[in-house]
Amino acid sequence: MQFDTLRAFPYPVLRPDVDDYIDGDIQVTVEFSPSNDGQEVTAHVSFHVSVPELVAEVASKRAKYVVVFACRDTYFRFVHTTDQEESEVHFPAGRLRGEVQVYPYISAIQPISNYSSGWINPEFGDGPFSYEVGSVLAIDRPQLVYIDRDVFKPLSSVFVLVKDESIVGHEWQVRPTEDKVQIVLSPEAKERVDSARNNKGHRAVLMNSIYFAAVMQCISMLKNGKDDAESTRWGSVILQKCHNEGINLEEHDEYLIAERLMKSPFQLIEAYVFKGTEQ
Amino acid sequence: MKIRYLRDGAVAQLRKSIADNLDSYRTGDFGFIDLDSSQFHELPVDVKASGLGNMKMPSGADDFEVENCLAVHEYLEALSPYEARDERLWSYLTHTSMLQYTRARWPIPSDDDKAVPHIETHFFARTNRQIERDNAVSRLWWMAHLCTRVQGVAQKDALEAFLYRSDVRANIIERPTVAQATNVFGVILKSLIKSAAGKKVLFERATFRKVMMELNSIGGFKLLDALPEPELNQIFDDVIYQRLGLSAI
Repeated sequence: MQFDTLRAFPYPVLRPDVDDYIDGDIQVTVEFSPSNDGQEVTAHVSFHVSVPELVAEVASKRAKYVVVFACRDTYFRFVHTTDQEESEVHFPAGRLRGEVQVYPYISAIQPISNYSSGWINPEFGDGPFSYEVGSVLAIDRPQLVYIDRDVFKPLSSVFVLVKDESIVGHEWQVRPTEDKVQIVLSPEAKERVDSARNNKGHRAVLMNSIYFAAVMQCISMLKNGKDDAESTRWGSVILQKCHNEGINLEEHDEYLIAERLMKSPFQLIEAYVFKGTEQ
Repeated sequence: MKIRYLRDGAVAQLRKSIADNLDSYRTGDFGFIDLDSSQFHELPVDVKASGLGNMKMPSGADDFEVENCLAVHEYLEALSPYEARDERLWSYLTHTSMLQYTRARWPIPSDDDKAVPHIETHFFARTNRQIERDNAVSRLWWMAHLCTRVQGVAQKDALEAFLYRSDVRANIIERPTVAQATNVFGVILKSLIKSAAGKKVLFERATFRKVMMELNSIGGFKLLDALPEPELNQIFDDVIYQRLGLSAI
C-alpha cells in the first residue's frame, strides 16, 4: 500500500498532510543498528500517535502497530506487528541489502464496527465508523534507509593505504579506484603511518589530517560528478551514509559534510592529544 | 570448496575485453581465473558440489529450467540474498564452472557485433534486471529462491508452475511488492499450482493480468501483507470466482 495524500478512503485514516482528522499526528521513527559481529541488523521502532482513540484500539487488541520492511534487492519483505509503542526487530544481516523501504501503519486485526473520535473531520459525518480486518486506521510517511555492511562501517574503511616508490618525502596522494580510495604515500611514510595507527593520539592526528582531507576530496568528486564517482563502490557507500545521516551534498560545503560523516573527528584530538599535553 | 567471486578489477577487465576474448567465450575457457588467486575472493561458505552434478545441459527445445533452478540453488544453498545480489559471484560462475552451461543455454551469435552485447547480457549481472532475468546462472538461483520461501509446497511443483509461462512470471517479478510479500506470493503460487493441474486458466495472459490488477486494487485499501493466509485465500477466491466470474481455474 503506497503512501498517497490524494487517496480517499471511505473512512477516516490519520495521515500527515491529510485532514481526515482536524487535529492529530502519527510519527514513527525507525533506526537501524548493526550487531558487533555484523551478523545481525536491529531496527528500533517507535510509534507516537496523538489520537487517544487510535491508541485505545491498539490497547484493546482490535488493531496493531504495523511496520512493513521491504528490500527490493533481496526480495525480502517483513511485516512487524506489535501493540507496544517501542519495539525492536532483528534481521539476519544477509536479508537486507541496499535500499530498504519502511512503511508504518496502524491496521485493524479484528473487525472494528464502532469507532469514533472527536478529532475526525466533520465532513465524514457523525460515524461511528467500521473497519474490516486489514484496513488501515493510520499511515505515516514511508522512510528510506540504505543498509549495507560497508555503510555501517566507519568511513575510514573506504580508504586503503598504499605505498608508491615514485612518491618521495611527505607528499601523499588520493587515488580513487572502482572499489576503494587509495591514500598513496612513499614506502617510508606508509611505514610510519601504519605504526602510528596503533597509538590513539597519533590516530587522532591522522584522522584530522590525511583522512579528513581525503574525505573532503571524495565529497568534492561526488559533488562535481568527477570521474563517475557516483558509480564506484566507495562513492555509493558515501552517498548512502549521507542519505542515512540526512546530509544533502548540495546544501553544505565539503568540510562540513566531512565533519558530520566523520562524527566530529576534532573531539579525538581533544581526547587524546590536548589532554595528554595539559600543563 | 568455498564460494568464490571475482574481484572488482577482474570483472571490469573481463567486461572490457569481451571482444578480444570471443574465442574463449565460444570454444575456449577462462582457466586462468581459478589458477590466480589475485582474480578472486572466497566467502567463508561452502558450495554443495552435488548440486553442480545435477545440472542438465539444454537440449533441443528443453532447457531443463526447473531441474537447473533446483541444481543451482542446491549448489549454493548457503548463499544469502545479500550475497546473491553481487555481480562478482555470478560473473565468476559463468566464466568458470558454469561456462559450458552458459554457452549451451545462451548460444553466442556468430556475428561478432551481436556476440559482444549478448555476452555482456548473459555472462555478467550489473543491474537488478540482469541478475533476475538475464544472467545465465543468477536467474536460476533467484527463481528458485522466490519459490523456496513458500511453505507447504514441493519446490519442484512450485517451480514448474512459476516457470510454466514467461508472461505470468514477468507479471509477478516485475511487481516487486507482490514478489516480496511471501504470503501474497504464496497464495498466488499455490493457485498457479492448482491451475497447472487443472484447466490452466490462470496461465492465460489476459486472465492473469486481470487477477493481478484486482489484487493491486484491493491492496490499495487493505494491508495484504499483514493478513493471515486464510484471509488472503478468501480474497483471492473472491477475485477469481466473484470479480472475474470464473467457474474453474
